[in-house]
Amino acid sequence: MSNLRRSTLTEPAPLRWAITAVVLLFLTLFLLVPLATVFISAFAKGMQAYFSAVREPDAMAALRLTLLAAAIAVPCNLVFGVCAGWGIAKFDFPGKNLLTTLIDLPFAVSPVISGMLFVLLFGRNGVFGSWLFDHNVRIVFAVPGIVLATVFVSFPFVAREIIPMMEAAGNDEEEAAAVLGAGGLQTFFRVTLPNIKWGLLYGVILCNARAMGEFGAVSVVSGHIRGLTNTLPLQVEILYNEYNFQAAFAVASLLAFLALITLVVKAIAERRVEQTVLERTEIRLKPDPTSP
Amino acid sequence: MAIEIRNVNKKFGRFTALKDVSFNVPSGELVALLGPSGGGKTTMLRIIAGLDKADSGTVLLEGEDARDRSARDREVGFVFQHYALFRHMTVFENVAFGLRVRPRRTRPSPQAIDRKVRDLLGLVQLDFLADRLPSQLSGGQRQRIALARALAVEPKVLLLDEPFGALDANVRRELRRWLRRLHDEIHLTSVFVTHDQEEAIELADRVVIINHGIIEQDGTVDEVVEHPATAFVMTFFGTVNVFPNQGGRATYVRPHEVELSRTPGGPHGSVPGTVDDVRLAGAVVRLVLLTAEGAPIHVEMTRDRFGALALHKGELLHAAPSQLRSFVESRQDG
Repeated sequence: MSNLRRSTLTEPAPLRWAITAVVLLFLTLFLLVPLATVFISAFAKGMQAYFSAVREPDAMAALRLTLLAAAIAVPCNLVFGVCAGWGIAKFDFPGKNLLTTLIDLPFAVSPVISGMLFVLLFGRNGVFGSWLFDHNVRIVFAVPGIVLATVFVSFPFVAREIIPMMEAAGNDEEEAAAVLGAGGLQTFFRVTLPNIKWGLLYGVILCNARAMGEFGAVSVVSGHIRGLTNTLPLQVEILYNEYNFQAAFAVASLLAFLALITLVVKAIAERRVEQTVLERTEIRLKPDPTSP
Repeated sequence: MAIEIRNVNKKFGRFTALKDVSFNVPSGELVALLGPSGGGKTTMLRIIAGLDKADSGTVLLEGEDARDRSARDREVGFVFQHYALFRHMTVFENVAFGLRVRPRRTRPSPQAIDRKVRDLLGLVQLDFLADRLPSQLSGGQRQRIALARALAVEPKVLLLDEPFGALDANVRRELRRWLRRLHDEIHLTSVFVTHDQEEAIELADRVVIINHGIIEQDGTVDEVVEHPATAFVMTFFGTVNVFPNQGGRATYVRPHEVELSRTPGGPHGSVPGTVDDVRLAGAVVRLVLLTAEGAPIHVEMTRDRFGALALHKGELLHAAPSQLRSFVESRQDG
């Protein structure tokens, strides 16, 4: 295979080098340099300044809020995504296409619009605004609003990731389990889940990355109350607008760390997903290689 | 356990998969559902298993209406066409699955499960593969593991969907004989779906021939081969010569039921034709004669008879059928 590729599918060497150079240059300019800048600026005034900026109460509050929002959004979307994926991939029902389209809605709508949507619904002058005000429930410009916005913008990831996997796997194994006497939950945990677990993990990672990094939607519903309704991305913006660059980059580096951890886990999950898909294709394509 | 199918109908949208289908599977017998692809056989099997629901009609398992029993309560073993082995489980765990998912009070002890699985793997002669994954097995091995898995729950009925469909010819023949021997040992009421008439003849006690969702014939292997009920059954079991008559009927003659001689005559008259093609196929010789109108007549005879006749290509002979069967003419799509 590699020989074949070498002889027929390869471009001349200069072109190969040129293409590689373009990619490397692009990566350096738009990924590596900015990432390095974050850390260099964060540590520009020394370790002491870095840690005091990170340990500053507002920054800590922002970190806690970001983790809280992600900690609620990710499990919610995990459960929702698995239910939606199961329903869409394994059953036929009227409105299935509509549901599939609706799941993609948060991708299609600008995050700022989704934020506005929650303000229009739950804000002081919104649809449920006066009722909520009368009952002393604060959603917009408070933590619930931030959680809601985070759940909304991050909800397609899990479903999107597992629907193709579940569809590829088909229904055969579930039917086999049913005939062998397994109940619905037993079938799900013993047969369906093991087949999608790596895809599921990958979806959760993407969902988590989005939940922690979301800026637009959260910014609209937050109200930017320091120490109360600022998430990490919002805190970075505030510090930056105050010309407190070192502190802004120090807080940004926290996000960068979270992103790097996510990337590593994602790389591992991705490799496992590829392996599963490969094994699956082999089973399907291999008609009968040897005698029994 | 005996199975009775009573007036089962099933449609998928506008497509009629089964139309008023009724037949019996006597206890302990091995029955083939035979017919061309897309004829409704697999749907029938899935309805027996409870994986699909009939639009109307009933399935009686041991005389009891099974309508309200879901697939998991029907105590059937099902071998899927592509085996549907659990790909993330070892062979051992695949076979053990049906025992492990039982409610605690009926679940065997871990030792009993272990023993049972080893026994079954021994039965299918694959005990050395216990720790492999399905992806590491050959097609024939997967087939037998799927069978062991289905047998583990001690089903009352075994249902097999195209059990040898995905295997190459040699493996298929060997597994077929093995399955027949297995059936003779354990006498489990079994139904299998196939589109291969040879497979049905070799394996089954009874054959139910389904085409376009209706039953063309239901009988023992001898009955359907020797006394086909319809033109479809006649043409489905091997080559046949068709002589159209008036009124949409036609006369059907099997190649081995044609006598060749140098003089006209015979119990049902004869047709003259010139020898066009001669093929030596093992113990038999296959010939094609062309009538004056250019229509082919297929003839089959033993080598001895061929030697005695000493015929040669281009010779004019008389083909006399020894047995005639007349049916309403078969639809072209059959």
